[in-house]
Amino acid sequence: MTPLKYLLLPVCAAVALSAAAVAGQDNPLPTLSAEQQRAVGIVIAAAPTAHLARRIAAYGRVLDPSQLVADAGGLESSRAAARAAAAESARLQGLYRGANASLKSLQVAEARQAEAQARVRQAQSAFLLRWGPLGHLGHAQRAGLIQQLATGRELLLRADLPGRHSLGVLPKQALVDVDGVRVPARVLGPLPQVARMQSVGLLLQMPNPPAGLGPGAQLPVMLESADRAGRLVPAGALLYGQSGAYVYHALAADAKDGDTQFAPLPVSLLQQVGNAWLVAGLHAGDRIVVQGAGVLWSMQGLGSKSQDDD
Amino acid sequence: MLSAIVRASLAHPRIVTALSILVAALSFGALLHARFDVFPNFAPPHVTVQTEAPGLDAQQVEALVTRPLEGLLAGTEGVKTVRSKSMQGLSAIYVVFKRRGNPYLQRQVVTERLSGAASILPADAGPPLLSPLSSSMQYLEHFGFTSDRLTPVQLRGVIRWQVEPQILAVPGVAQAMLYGGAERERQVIVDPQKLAADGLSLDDVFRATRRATRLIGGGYVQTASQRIVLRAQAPGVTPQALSQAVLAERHGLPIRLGDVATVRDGAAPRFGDGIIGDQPGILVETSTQYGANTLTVTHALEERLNRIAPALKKEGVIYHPALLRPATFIDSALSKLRASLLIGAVLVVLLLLATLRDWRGALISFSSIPLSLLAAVWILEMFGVSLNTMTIGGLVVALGVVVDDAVIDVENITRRRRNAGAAGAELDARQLFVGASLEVRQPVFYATAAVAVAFLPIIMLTGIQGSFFRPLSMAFLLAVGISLIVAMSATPALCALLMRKHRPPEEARFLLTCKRLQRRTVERLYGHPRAVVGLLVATGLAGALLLPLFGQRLLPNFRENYLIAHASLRPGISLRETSRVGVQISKRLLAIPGVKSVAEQIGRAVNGQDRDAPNKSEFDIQIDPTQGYTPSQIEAGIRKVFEDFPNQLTEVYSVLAERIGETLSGETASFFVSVFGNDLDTDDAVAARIAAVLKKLPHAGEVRLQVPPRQPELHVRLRPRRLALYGLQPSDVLQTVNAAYQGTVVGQLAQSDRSIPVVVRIAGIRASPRTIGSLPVRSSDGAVVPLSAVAKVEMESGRSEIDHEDGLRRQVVTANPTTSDQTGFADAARRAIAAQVKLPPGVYLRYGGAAEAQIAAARQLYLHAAAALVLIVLLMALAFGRARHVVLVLLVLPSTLIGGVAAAAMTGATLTLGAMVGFVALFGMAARNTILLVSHYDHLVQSEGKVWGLETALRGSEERLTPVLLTAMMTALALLPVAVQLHQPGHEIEGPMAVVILGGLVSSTMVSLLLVPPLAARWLKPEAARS
Repeated sequence: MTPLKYLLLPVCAAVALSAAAVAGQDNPLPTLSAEQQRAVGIVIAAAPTAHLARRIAAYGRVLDPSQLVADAGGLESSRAAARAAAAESARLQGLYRGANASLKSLQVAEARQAEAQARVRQAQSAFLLRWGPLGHLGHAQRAGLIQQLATGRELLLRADLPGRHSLGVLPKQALVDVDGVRVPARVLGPLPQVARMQSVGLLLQMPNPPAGLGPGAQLPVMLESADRAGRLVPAGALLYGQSGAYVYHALAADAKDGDTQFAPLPVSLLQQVGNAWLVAGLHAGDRIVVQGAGVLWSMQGLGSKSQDDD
Repeated sequence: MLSAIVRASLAHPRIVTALSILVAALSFGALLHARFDVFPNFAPPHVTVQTEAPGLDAQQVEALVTRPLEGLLAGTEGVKTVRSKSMQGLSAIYVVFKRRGNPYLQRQVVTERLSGAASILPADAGPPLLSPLSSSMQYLEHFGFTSDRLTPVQLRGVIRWQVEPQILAVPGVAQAMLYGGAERERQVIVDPQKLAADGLSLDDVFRATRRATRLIGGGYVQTASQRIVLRAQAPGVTPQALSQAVLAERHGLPIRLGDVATVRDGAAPRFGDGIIGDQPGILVETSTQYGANTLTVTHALEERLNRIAPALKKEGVIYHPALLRPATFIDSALSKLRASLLIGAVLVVLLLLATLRDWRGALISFSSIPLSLLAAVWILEMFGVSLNTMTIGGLVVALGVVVDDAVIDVENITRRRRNAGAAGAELDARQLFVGASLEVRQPVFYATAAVAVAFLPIIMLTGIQGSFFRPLSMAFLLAVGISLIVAMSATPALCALLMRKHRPPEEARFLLTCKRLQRRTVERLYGHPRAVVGLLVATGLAGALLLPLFGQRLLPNFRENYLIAHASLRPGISLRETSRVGVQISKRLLAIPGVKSVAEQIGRAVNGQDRDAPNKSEFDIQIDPTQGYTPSQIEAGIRKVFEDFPNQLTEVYSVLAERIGETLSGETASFFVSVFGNDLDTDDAVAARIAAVLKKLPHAGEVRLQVPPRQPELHVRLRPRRLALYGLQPSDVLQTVNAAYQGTVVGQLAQSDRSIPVVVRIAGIRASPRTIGSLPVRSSDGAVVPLSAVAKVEMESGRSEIDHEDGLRRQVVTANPTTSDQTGFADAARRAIAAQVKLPPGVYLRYGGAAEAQIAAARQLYLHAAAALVLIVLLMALAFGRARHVVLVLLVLPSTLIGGVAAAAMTGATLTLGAMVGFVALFGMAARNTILLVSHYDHLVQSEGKVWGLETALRGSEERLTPVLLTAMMTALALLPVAVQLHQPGHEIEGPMAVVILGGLVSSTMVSLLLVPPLAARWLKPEAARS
């Protein structure tokens, strides 16, 4: 035996013990000869690394732009009214200083100016509450957006995340499922108001929406956050125990008689990708059982046989 | 009375002969129409009550379904035992009735008891369904169907709706269980998002689907001259039509089912599968009705299937016949036994001709043998007893006595004529026949009675042993009784017809040689009485001491062409994985030379007799030993294949052994310990300790806990405060979970001649425990939240199965000892468990299995044998009237068995109950020989006035030599083909019997002819007794 194997043995033993504890098994680790592996259809492979965007499923609803137009119009008119009230107040101030206006008139103008400014603040708050990130847009930008919405070249959607009341990192992109076609949308930001679904909502902007998609339509949305790294394993390789998900891996050192011993290895499920999962907890060099994991799981739960069997 | 019968027969020989021919003809007719079966109906009548409880786990099923039903069945009249299994989605209660009742009435009582079940079971549980009464073997035939053209749904549709009704229409078929394929269902797959968007709930979908699929009859239109039937069609008759069903109305527009759901026909989730050869298919398992004839029903079923197979082939369905066919064993066993008996019969005729040297004597002697046996078959048939391994065994055992009856009269007449020399032909024939017949009649009567009494202990066996061996004993007694009647009627009548002017030929030379040898030996032994007694005692003791050392087992291993392998994967394994492994195993099994076919049933069928979960499967393997490999080699290959699949526990049985084991105790293992106690964890702990003790015993074989270990479960625990937060009702959540992972059946659609369930499911459900938390749940006010927001979802372990016996929870430890001494292992196991396992309060054990049954049977047998021995002594006392005679007979009897003991030792040293029956028969035959010899001494002294001494004893012995030797040789020749083919199928019961009798015949003949005369000459005092 080479010195390397001497070093590996205790490591393997430790891995095996911890793995058995993870899987909640008192039974010995399954060991299979090459012939048995062929018979039961065990396939071992390394899990490839992958970087995938984190995905969150959400429900989307196309918003009615007329409401935005009305809200923006209301905001602008209040601002115009405030500007007018400020100008009137300034004019009366000059007149009053020249004793051409009464103090009463000046005070009335100042009161109207204050009232108009209060209305502006109120409208701004209402707009922000309703439209969130759109409240931070400049007049021209907002006008441009409204123009685009009005002509159907853009759509606004509200994406709800049922069961969630907060959002950590803002997703970088959204994919809206329109009749099976994933249409990208920009994530503008969170919406402060909670809708009927009692969940946190995001405002999405979809450029060049499919024709016919209009306000009120409800669509599945997939929110994508920053990429995260992991390894891809087939769904069939995963097993579930009280301590979570795990896979079986072939131990580096072969047991006596050249048989291969397998041990459970806990993994964290990050994300489902088709018929596979992106998982954390695997390392380069881990030889994962990608087919026939059920065989090993079954072996660990059958109980031992008596000596006569051998 | 005996004398009157003989005289009447001699007075009307033609009438008696004609009557005998008539009886023989009728009996032969009865034989042609006899019911053939593998075994007598050994199992007590039983039914299985199965109740589907969709979505409930084992503990919920136990508490909500099994317990209430057991409560209903408790105390039911005629019920012996109630065993149950509670598992995910199913409660199966096995009700065993008492024997000797009317099983149809007993079943009716159970049905009446269960009539109140609907009010105590959960709303979603199905009605309790009773299985039909089936025969002990249960299996009729397994066959399969595969198709490369049809989908699993289409294939199942063809088999279920076209083939199954035809199978069930065959008289005698009790049930047909289908494994594999997929049931068709109409699926309404709801998109939860669309449903929420429209402000609708699952209840709205259920209601709309029900309304759309409900069929309401139309009535008829009556005109002045016509009455026209009005047929109304349900709107949901096609998926497209069903998707148009209106759910609600919004702003004047209808919201249809298709707007929120996809409607399509699909496959229902499966709880069983079938693999034929190495490809998925449908395995059909049929069972025989209670009391039906296996051979007849099998042939009728095969005829029906062969008729429909061509039509099925046109549809792309391939028929795979006889995947498991118990009738093959019956056919094979009967043909081999028939051949053996035919060879035996030819040998007997040749021997008769060679020894009697007279065709008349040979004809009379031989004709009485088939007459007695055929008449016995006729009577058995009249009483509804089938011809099976056991009844045929009884007739084989009776051969020794029947042959003796056949020979003794003819030989006596021939001897008397020969002794009279030239004057023999001039003797009054009737006087001669009467004298010859009556001389032996009384002792023959007592000897036959003694043999019959020897069989009483076997008749009195109870339980399954009684069920097996009572028909054997009945057949034996019938044959022996009829043989006695034939010897008093047909034989004298035939003698009167054929031997009236008969001149007997000279005695065969080898008989004269035997007589010379006998004389020489007896004269020598006469001088050494102590040596003779010593030899008798020594051989008697040797037999008595050796017998207990032999291994014991209830029944032998039956050499069938079918094997059953029970495979068990870990509970909780998926059906797909079990099927995948099954296909791999089947491929390798089929590659073994000598394996003809393989089929696998996985899980369970709808209302099937097997209540297995998807982790359990059963392989039906047909072997063909004619391909140059012995059954042992093929079986070794099969076991080797299973060894390469260590992911499952496998036990390989012959079909008969599997059935018998299952019937004995509900367990197929030959030894098991039931642990009873209310706390399942304590039961498990005790069972584990017992298993550890058993594993340490030598030859323990496979030791297992029968109730499987825990399986992973995903527990959904609702959080009341969260539910309140979202305004959700618990039932809303549970209903959604049920629809998502089980599917909610909301109606049935009638289509053509079949009905299809309509099931509502939820779309987008992924097969991962991780994603269950994201299942959307919608409250009545429209809030949609994932399940994880209102419930805690955790992986835990739960019980996959909970077993009860008579209402008590039980865990079972089983062992399949590798030794042939099953009884010895059971004894050792009991002792070891008693010494090493301390039982907690409230826990107790019950032992069972074939070995336990054998111990119980042996106990009964010893007790009854002691009583029978007393009766035999009384009978002999009545026959002889002298204690010395009785003592002499009792002294020599044990030593006559030594030959049987030696023969049994040479052929494996294992005593099956068949071999034990051989010893009983041997005991009876030896007693008969000795009684007849001693009676002949009495006759010489009392009737012929001889003076008792060595010379008279020698004469008596010489005169008895020919019948004794002839009987022994005839019996030996008749049984020789059976004994030689000891290891052939069909000879499993009769073979060991024949071996024991053959060996015993050697010793009993030598004892009767060589050891009894010198002792009798010294000790018996016939003259003094009479004077």
